[in-house]
Amino acid sequence: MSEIFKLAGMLTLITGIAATALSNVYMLTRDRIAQVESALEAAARRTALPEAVVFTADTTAGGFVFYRGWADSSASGEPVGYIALALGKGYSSRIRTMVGVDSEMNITGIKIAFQQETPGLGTRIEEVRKGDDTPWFQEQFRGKTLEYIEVVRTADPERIEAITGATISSEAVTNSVREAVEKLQKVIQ
Amino acid sequence: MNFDSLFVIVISTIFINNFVLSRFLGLCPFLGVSRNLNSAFGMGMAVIFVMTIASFVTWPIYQLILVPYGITYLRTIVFILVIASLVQFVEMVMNKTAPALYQALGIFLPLITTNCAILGVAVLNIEDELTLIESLVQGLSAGIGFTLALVLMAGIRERLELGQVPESLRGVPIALVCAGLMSIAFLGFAGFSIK
Amino acid sequence: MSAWKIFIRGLWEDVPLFRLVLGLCPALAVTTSLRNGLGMGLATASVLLGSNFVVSLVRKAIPAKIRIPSFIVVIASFVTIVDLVMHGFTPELHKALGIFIPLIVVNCLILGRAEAFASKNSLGRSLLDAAGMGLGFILALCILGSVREILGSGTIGGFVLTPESYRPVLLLILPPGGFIVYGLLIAWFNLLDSERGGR
Repeated sequence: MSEIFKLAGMLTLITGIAATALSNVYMLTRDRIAQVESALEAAARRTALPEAVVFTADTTAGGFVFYRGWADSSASGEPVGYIALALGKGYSSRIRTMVGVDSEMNITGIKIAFQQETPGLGTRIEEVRKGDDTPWFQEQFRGKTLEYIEVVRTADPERIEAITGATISSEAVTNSVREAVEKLQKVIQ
Repeated sequence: MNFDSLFVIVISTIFINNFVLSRFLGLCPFLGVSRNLNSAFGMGMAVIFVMTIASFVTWPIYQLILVPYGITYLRTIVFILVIASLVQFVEMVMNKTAPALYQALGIFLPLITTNCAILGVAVLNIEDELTLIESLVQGLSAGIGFTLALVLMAGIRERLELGQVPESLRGVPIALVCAGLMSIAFLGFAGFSIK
Repeated sequence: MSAWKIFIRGLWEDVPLFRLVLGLCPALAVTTSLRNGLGMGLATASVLLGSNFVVSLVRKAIPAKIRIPSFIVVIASFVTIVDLVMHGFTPELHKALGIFIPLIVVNCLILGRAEAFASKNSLGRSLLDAAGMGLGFILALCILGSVREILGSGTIGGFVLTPESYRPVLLLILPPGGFIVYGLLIAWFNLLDSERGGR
């Protein structure tokens, strides 16, 4: 009986030492990780609403988080646009997209912040064609308004063209973007 | 409770995004235990059990202890220890209630601990931001999907043993090629759009 | 066994993935490109070195009955360290490898070496073993990653190799491709080995 206590005690000691070592490493890397994450988010916001230089966060009563974007660094006057994070269930991951709209609810840009879709198929939502600067799939959203944010199989410049063989990923992004624009519309009006 | 979302989880975890054939989780036992249909089935049952309980136990530990205390970096250690204990427990129970199966599975039973599918589903439940019930369902479905792939593979391999396979392909290589073909078949589910 | 022999064993005779069928899951999932394969290889090798080091260091102090759980705690700790460091310093790779970073803890290769070698050998020899096996694993992942990337995307390390008109064999970077390429590579390896008069 006492042997079990001794063994359990040993194991607890080992785990305790490990946990202590880990919390030290965590302390060392925590700030760096936070820096990396906020840099990524800031870059995403800039792509979604290029005209804005400063953002202020806000939350609706229902818990929806969004940002107002200002062209002026003192955040005065009318906001030049709004940003929200769209969440969609993709094929093999939860896709997070930063969506930016102007005051007329035209999309100013989207940036996919996180995805882990199938390489070669779903990951093409972030694919940049030779000669382009930005992912073509995401570029399609620029300038569109709510009614036109839907996926079609054939090339229709007014709507969103799906990626061949990656319908689920394409639809996940498109539907989540539409949802985000709808929510932003409710907030602003 | 949203039955729609639960249904989507079940179908997508078993077929569309099968843990073994699409996500590459659980490969070691998949190749190791799939020689024989009976042991494949037995292993599958054990895995379903462990996965479901693991999902049910790791979720609250993460959400109610790790998150509030800000020690989410301990996730890997805590999860794997929970899983290792669960497997020990299953081993003891199986030894008492189904000793024949216990013997048949042999070394592969403790190896369930290193089955990446179990840790994988526990981590995925968190990453996908599922609720407790959804996690439970995903764990159960992942186990079923794993068993499905395992049993299918065992059926094929039992026949392969009788076939004429070139020397260098015999054993693991030909099993892998078969797995590849099965994976292509399961790719057919990829277009499933559940509305 | 001489020091050199311990090191070289992991590179040919007992090379992970092609001889020792261990550590499969990450091998197939992340080898969609050379860069990912290399990244995963380095991450795993780091954990292997750390774990063999600690296990060998404390091998006399750990009671036999709890050695497996103890090894797991050690391995899980190093995996967490690698995870945190990668998140902070190589975020792109961290995102690309995703859940397979925490899954390094169940890579049977690492637990296998801890149990079979590090727990029974001196510090120096254990480190050599880890270095050899780690390097072998990295090489195997690079080979797998290169084959799949060259044929499946027409690129290597991100550099486009093939002309626009070539449509790559997409299947190879999808799951089935992983299985098939890996299986054929093992078979080819077996062939090479038998021609050299191996086992």
